[in-house]
Amino acid sequence: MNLSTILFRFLVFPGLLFSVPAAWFYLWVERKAMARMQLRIGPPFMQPFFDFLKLLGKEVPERPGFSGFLMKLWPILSVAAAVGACGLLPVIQSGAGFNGDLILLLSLLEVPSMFLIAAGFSSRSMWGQIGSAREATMNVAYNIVFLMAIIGIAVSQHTFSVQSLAQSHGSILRWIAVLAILACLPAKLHMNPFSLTNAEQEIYAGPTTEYVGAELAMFELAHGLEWVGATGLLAVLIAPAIANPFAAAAVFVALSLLVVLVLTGIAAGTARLAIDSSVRFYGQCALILIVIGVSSALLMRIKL
Amino acid sequence: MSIVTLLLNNLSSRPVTLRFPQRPPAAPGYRGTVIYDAEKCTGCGMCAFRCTSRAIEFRNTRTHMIWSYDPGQCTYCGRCVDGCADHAITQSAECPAPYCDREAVKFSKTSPRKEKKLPTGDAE
Amino acid sequence: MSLWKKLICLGRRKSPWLFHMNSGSCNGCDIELIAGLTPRYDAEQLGVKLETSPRHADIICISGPVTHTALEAVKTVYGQVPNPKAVVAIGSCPASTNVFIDSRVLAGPLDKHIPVDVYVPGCPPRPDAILQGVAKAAQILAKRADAKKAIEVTETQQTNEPAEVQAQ
Repeated sequence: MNLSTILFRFLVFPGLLFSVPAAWFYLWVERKAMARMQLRIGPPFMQPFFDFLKLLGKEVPERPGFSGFLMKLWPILSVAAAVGACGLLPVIQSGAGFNGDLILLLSLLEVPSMFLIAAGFSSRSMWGQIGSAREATMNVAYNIVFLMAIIGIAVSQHTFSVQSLAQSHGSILRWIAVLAILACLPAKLHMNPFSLTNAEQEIYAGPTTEYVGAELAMFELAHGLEWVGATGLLAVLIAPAIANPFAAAAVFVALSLLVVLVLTGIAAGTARLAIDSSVRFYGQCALILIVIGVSSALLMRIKL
Repeated sequence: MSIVTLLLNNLSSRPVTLRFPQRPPAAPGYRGTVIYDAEKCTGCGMCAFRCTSRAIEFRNTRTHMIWSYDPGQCTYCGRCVDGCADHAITQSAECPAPYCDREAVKFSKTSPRKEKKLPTGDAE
Repeated sequence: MSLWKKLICLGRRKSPWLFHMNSGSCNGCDIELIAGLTPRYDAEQLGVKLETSPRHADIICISGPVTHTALEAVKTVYGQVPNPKAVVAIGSCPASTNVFIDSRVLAGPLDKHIPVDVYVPGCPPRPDAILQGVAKAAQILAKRADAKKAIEVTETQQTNEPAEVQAQ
């Protein structure tokens, strides 16, 4: 794995040059599908890009002290981490992965939520603090299930490289893990029924209440990049192994869009769950996964 | 019908949205902007008296009558239309359009006073 | 105008984010504004999003004749919305206090305190009229050439506004 492949993956495909327009595209698909499911027209095609442009043109007020510096820092780091996560996805089969990049991918996917929590507290706004506390609770709840599912299949295949994981043969465990990850994605992406962080009627805008202009534009972009990264991870786990790079990229995008549509359907059809119901749901998922994991480990032990 | 069937039905139907700037037609009898007909007006001032929000002001001078109306003050209730015995005031069937300048939208009309028409049998 | 400015103005015209504020209204105008988000009128086709924080919004939609209790809140929210911004007065109440003229509890029509860009008359105005008003405000926003310049404040308004609004 040489420097030029790394730079290509992080800066061109599936990194910066691909993931930023893809983020806007996936956000548009989500809004348009949600609108069509509600018998509305929905926004025009370039809408997320126009939102981004407009936010860049807003005047940001002077924020004194260290909090002001932090409020500028968190959005930029979120975008950088999310672009890095997208860059690590093994869309095209190449030798550019390394053993352990699964851990790096998972931690980079976590960073936008973590920094959203930090951002809510740095903004020194009451609504930001409440929103961040809620996001932190949701984060713990869904991460137990998410990490358990991924690490479960990683351990069963004896690998921590995303590419080997994606290329290994599918098994029942793999599909159970995919279902579990699909159940976690609404919470990760702040969609119904786990959209507690964005509970507008209760806490204004949540963690991003005090963010203005370019900072808010970066947070929205980080949110779109989370979409690309998270749906991309699921697409990579579902996709069959394809040798031709263009076909592999096309299948990757198609499967990601399928995941986007499924998530939008779930969001359109459900209402927001309160914090106790959300945590209880993920607790029950975690319990099921624990039972499956322990029993399959025991079964594999007995067979060998 | 379950929510899944509902969503799938919605996806396969056309959206019900009116594409901007298309607007739904106003029902007949819709109470829109007040329209003043100086020809029919006899200068009784009933419209200004009945107006709920003082949007209509009416003044008689020796030779003229001045009727002024502020659509920004108006509440589109229709009491002026009901109170006008001469049917000189009507309400448009279109809703009033958004505007930017408060002063430019005010309307005022000055017209000469009409001769009083008394019933026959009275010497004048 | 340079290409960057042209792109920003395009973004402002195509993506007006609203913040709704009720300064003492009867809620009729608020209901009609929310009805503008329903499938029949669909404000999202214009890119309109009803934002929940004034810091995120470009256009403030204010309904209601401004009561004394709501006055400070209106001025605070106006100060919190980042430049460039536009104000839409929904209904006849903020334009002129409507039927509540000369009431003791009112602080007067809205343009005594903050500069208003578009007035949408009606009691309440229809949702399509409100959407037309918002589209007009988005075009006014796009024409504000300089991003950092605050809205021009006339002399009568300067005497009424508190210091934090004047500093914008």
